[in-house]
Amino acid sequence: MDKGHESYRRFLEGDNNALGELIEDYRDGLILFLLSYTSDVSAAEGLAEDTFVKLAVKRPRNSGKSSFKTWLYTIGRNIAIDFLRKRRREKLVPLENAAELASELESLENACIRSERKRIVHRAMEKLEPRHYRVLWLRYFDDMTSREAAKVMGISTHAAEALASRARSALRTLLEKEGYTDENLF
Amino acid sequence: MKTYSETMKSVLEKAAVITEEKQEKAKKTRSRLKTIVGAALAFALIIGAVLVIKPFGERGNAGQFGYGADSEKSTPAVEETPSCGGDPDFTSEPAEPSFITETAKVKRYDEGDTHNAELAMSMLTTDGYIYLDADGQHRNSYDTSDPVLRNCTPDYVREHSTDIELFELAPNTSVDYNRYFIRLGDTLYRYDPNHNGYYYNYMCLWDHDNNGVDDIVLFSTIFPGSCFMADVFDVSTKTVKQIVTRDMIRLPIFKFQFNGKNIYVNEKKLEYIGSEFYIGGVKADESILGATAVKRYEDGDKLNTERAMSMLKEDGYIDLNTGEVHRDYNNISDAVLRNCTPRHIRERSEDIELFQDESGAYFLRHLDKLYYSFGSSKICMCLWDYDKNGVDDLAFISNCGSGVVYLEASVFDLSAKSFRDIIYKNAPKDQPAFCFDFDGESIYIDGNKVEYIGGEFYIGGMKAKDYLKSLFDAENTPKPAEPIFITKKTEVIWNDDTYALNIDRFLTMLEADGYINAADGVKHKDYDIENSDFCNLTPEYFRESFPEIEVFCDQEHWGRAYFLRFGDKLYCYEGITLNNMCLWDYDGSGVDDLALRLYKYSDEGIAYQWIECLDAVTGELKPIFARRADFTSSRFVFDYDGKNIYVDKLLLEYRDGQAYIGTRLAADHAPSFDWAEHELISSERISVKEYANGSSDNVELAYSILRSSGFIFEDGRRYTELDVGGLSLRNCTSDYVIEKTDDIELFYNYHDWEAYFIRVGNELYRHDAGGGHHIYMLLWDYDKNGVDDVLMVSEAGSGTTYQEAVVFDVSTKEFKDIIHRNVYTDINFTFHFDGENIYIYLKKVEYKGGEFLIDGIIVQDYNPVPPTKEPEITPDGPNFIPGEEIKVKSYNDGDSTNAELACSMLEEGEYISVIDGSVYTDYTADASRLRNCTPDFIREKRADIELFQTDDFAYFLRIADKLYRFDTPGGFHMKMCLWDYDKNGIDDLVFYHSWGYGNYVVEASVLDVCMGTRMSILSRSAEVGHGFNLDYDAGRKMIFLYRNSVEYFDGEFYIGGMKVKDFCETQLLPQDTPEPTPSGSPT
Repeated sequence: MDKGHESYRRFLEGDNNALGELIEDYRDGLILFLLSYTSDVSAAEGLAEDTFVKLAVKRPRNSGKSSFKTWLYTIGRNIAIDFLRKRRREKLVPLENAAELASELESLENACIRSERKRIVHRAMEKLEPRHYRVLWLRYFDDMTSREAAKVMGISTHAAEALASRARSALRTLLEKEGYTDENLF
Repeated sequence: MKTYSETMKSVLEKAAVITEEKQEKAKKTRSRLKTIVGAALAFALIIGAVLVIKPFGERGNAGQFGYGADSEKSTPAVEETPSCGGDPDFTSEPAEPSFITETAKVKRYDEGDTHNAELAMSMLTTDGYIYLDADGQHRNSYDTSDPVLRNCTPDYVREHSTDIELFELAPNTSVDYNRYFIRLGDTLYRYDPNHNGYYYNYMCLWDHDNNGVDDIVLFSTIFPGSCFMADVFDVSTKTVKQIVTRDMIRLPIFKFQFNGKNIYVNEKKLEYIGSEFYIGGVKADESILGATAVKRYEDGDKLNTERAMSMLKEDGYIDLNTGEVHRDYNNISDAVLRNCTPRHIRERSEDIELFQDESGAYFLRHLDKLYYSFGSSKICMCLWDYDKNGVDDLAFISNCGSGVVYLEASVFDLSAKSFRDIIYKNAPKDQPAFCFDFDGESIYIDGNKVEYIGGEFYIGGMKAKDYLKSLFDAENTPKPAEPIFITKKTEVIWNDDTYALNIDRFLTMLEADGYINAADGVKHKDYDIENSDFCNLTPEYFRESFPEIEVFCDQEHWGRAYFLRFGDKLYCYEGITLNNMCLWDYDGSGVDDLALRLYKYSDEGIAYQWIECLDAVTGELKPIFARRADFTSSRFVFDYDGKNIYVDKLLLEYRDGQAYIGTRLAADHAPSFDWAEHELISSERISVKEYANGSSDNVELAYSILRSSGFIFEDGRRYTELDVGGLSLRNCTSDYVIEKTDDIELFYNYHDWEAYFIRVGNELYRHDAGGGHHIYMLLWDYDKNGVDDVLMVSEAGSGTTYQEAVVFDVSTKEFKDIIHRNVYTDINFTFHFDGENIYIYLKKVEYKGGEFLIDGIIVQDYNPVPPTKEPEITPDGPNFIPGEEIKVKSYNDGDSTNAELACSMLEEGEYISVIDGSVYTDYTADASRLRNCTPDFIREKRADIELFQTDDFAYFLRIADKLYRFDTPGGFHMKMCLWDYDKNGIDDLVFYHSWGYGNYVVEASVLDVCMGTRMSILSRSAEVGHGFNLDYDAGRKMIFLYRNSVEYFDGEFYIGGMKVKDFCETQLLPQDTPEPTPSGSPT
């Protein structure tokens, strides 16, 4: 049983501190994953919060078949889709908030992504197609296997692998355009 | 960005708000619903009273509000039978419900258990209980020192609520016998006003006031001393409502029935309308039957008691037992009489009254005379001219006896002044001795009319004493010990929630210890775990009782691999589909072995249904027996009773290394066949051999004929230009034909061509199976001309498969079709041969006048399951359109119309799974992989509806700008049509499809276009020939199953007034009823 499963089990048994542990362990990664749906760190933060609210209110049963993170991200993804259905994607950020949001994203990246090299890659990834961003985030930043990423994204493993391949290729092109030629970068 | 603790705080606050809002909303909804429903009901009642009531069946549940001023004439909705077949009016409420009364039975004290008894006990001792008595509610503490509670909640309630339980107090604790407590959440209620000593028979949940909250119904249908009680405990208001009045409490004659939704009393629907209960459309306390209830002493009144007293004093009474007049009534000065005459008599005659004194003695006044009788307690009394002499006599229902209670029906002849017994019977167990009914003119026992003919009473056409004997025999004849099958528990479970059970332990075993390959018995340690997707499919039977045995499946493995954990050993099966697992001591060694029912496929792709045993002693995998499973009617039905295995419901035995059913080999046994009349040729003997099992006998002869004169095709033309070098023939002739003649043989070229050649003498006749296989080959002199002809039975075609029987006339060299059935849509035929005659659908086939006939009907037109009502194909009746018009096109037959549109919708948007209602995105497709498979009928009618299939077998349905995904794993969509099933004015979509691995299931379902949800109409396994067809009347937009129209009412689909499932269980052939489940489920 991974740590997430253990914490969630304790939460279901009434230990609210366990919910705090889950938030601490998974919130930032979840926000960065959900960013691909919202393009807005503040909205992604709200969705991540809603994901934890869902855990707290509905207390869904976890079969334990997949890792806790995979399961949590799948819930987050469903919440994001519901969110998008209600409010079609808005990429525009009001000017007065733009600087603030950029700084929030930067601090989130700094907290979550230790390596400078990966931070560069992540910034480039934000310019990719959302699903390319999503698969790369899951595979290479959240260290998920193809199978786990596929489960979170609701696609077949084969499709996830194909998507990741295309995303990597798109990212390489993008990085090259921006002047990064270091093959080790990614 | 918030800190973690801020997020935590925010999450908890939001959760608290949501929880509170949900509770508030639920409360409001309940209250609002109640107001709306109350107002609607009141309105409906007013309308009903003022207007001429619409006839029942005009629309949906109109019957519910259809009780008008003239309740005698109104018909309860339940008695309305929806029209079927040719009648287009399908809107009335369906008739006979399917009852689950047994599940609502309150457990006896000694059958109860201690589940939650401690909880109830602690509630009893800490908070006490709320006593619901005649004056309302008050809380009592409970001070008994040692009560013993049993949980007597019926199974139905246990399954449907964890908040509602019924506890009975130990009958042996002082006076508190038969005392019941109802736990509703965290509160205990007690309700037993003035009825100490009665017990409940039934308890169920019934939302009597349609406010969205199930209430609790308590029924007591019989009580020594006579009592029928029925109350509703309203869960919302915490109050008790009596369903019956005190008059009716006297009736011991009610039958309680429950179908999970509605309650029926004496087969009449119980309803709550306004603030009144109705039974069969009549107010419960105004029913004619209720009016016949003799009042109890304490309910009687003083009407005319003074007069009766003075008659007693002055004229005395006539003792009906002796015929003598007595004037010695005890304590006449102190006697306190009560008038107990039922309302029915009071309203119709002033000449007749029934009085009772405090001791229980009855005095019957007729005109100016009093008659005395004793020994029985009068329950019902009604006017009945039993001998049709124009003078009303009196029918009585009485009970007598203590301990064993008897119920008696008798008649008091007012002319002869004597009693005549009709029937006298004790009550079996806790059921009424018999049911009594009265319609104002005739009386009924158990629903059978009672008549008096030639000095004898007849009940339902039988002399009363014979009727009584038949009841006695029925009750006392020991039932044959039929096996109780637990087959369902032995099925492997495909369920997301249980896939992950013990996977870690399994993987550790697989990695560390490896597995034994069942095919070669060799141990391996090299399983590619990385590229596998394991799930635990262990049947319930093992999970419950034998946790040491489990089964896992690798879904990623081509053809699937199953891992069987037998203790600390793992066995691996590949290329099979596993359906059932159970323990079976097949060899009588005293040690249970592991039996498996599975499908295996030969190299040619022919499926065989197997039973195999993993021997617990030797570890050896033992084949028990197999039947070909490609020919659906040759498959068998598997069952298990906890010890033995049954094939086609008959005991399977294994002896001398072979499996038997009775005296016949299991492999050859034909279910439902009349063995006394016919001795069948074994199916093995008439089976065409598989390519791999074929021989090279006379293959050179076949090649030489092909080289020299070619072959003659079915159309009579001869083909000679043949590259014989490219052929690879095998002699696949059946053993039966080999034994009979050297002149007829069958050759098969499996590689490349899949061609079959029948050799007759020096000619080869080509007769392929169109991508399928020939199954049987035999000799049959169909036209009795003295020359044996060749009969071939085949499963032919790829994609859509057909069963065929064709005869090749050796004299005329012509092929003649006998029968041709679509295996998915038609009722599959069975085939047997006894050396002289062939049998299809177990019926002898005869050849007369150039036609093959069964019972005088052309075989192709013969329907083994006649519709309950054959629809009339008239301008007013159904007009089925050809199936081709609504047929979903195959991938290859589809086209690219709007494929780009669908593809762009897929890429940019989201789609909804009709299976689970979830919304998904990210399906990767390109237009070249999509084919528009929409049937022609839909294409012509609706531009906004299209069905696409991808090259990886996914189906996407476009409805305007929405995409739905509706896959059929292992199967395909076959038909699609429009049907406004819920009569909301919008056409919904009916799909007719197959799915499943190994066991194909044929299903009809409707996709609600408004809701985006799917409802299954009928799902049946085609494995044992249970396929069904779907017909469509395009003009009326109606669908037909088994040639009977289908209608929808209140969440259920009906055929001819019966739920579709019930129709299949009761109206179809007996061998058509078992329902194996598929080995795969739609995801």
